[in-house]
Amino acid sequence: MADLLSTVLVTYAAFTIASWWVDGLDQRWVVVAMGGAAIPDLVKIEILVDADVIENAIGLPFDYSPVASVAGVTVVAGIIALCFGEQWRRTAYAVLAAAGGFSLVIDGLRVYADGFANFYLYPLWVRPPTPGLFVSSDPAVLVVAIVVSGVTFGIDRWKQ
Amino acid sequence: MGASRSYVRRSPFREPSRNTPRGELTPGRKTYIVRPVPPSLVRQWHRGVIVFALVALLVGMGVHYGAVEDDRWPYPDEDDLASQPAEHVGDEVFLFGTVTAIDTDAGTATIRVEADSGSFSLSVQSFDRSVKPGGIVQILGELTTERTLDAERVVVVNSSSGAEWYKYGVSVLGAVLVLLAFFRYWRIDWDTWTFEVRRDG
Repeated sequence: MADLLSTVLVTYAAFTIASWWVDGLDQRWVVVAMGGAAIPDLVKIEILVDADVIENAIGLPFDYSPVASVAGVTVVAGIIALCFGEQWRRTAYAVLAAAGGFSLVIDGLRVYADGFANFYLYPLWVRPPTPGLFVSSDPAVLVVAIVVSGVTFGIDRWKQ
Repeated sequence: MGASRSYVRRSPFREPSRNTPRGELTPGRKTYIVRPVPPSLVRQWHRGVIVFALVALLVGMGVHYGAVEDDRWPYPDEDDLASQPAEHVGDEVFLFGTVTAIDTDAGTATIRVEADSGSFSLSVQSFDRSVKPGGIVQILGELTTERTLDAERVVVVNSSSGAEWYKYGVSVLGAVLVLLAFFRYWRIDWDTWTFEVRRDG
């Protein structure tokens, strides 16, 4: 996946632009969206606890990949939404799931040598074609993200 | 009164609590002291159960994915190539590996591929990219012998091991940014263990 900073900045830009037209989508929900965009990155728990450790513990095959999939985002957004006060939960869920999905789409644009992304549409076993726009460690991605979010921030201030 | 009630059985060994309606107690009779449980506490408990169920569902998906993915992935997986490479000679393979040696003039490289049983090395021909040892590449190509790969396409994921550190460093910054932005508009309500909007945010 792209680095988390780029993902978060691009999500900030996308949801801030959306907030110009969508009623009720204000700054406090834009920051929730930034958090939601980080949901697929939870797959990196793998660095701390290897999937093999879990396989040995439960005696079954195990893979972290569903966390960075449509199914995983749907469930993790539910867990996080439950952490919100009752009156916010529905909106929180909608924003978290939308941002998580947005993050998956961004991630699906990166390069795969055979031109097809991973199974991020799980539970569907489909590898969507990818335009191969970037590789995950490409600093150019961050430059683009900083420029896009900076311009959005400026326009947003100017509109107020 | 709430639907959930707790009762305290009167005991001669226990000091009556402050809530005990002293005047109504009769010795030798079972006395129920009914105190409504705040509805918010009931909901807290429900919340915990739902979170637990969702985490269990997530683990279940991980198990399902782990069990099924090998059949869905269109290329032979690393474990098969590690244990039975002879069966896959002539197959198209798609691998992620760490470059251990590279000869740009000859267009060859050696990569190390991780498998469950340990890592193995492959020689790659038609390697047309410039990478430092320690860099990570994706290779699509044909397995020409048990441990040789003729690359059709090479993608450099990290051009050196430094690029990997760059990615993680910047990602940690992203996580810090999310937390700072979030807690500027939200706070933790310690009474209900929930996020609430900051009134001053």
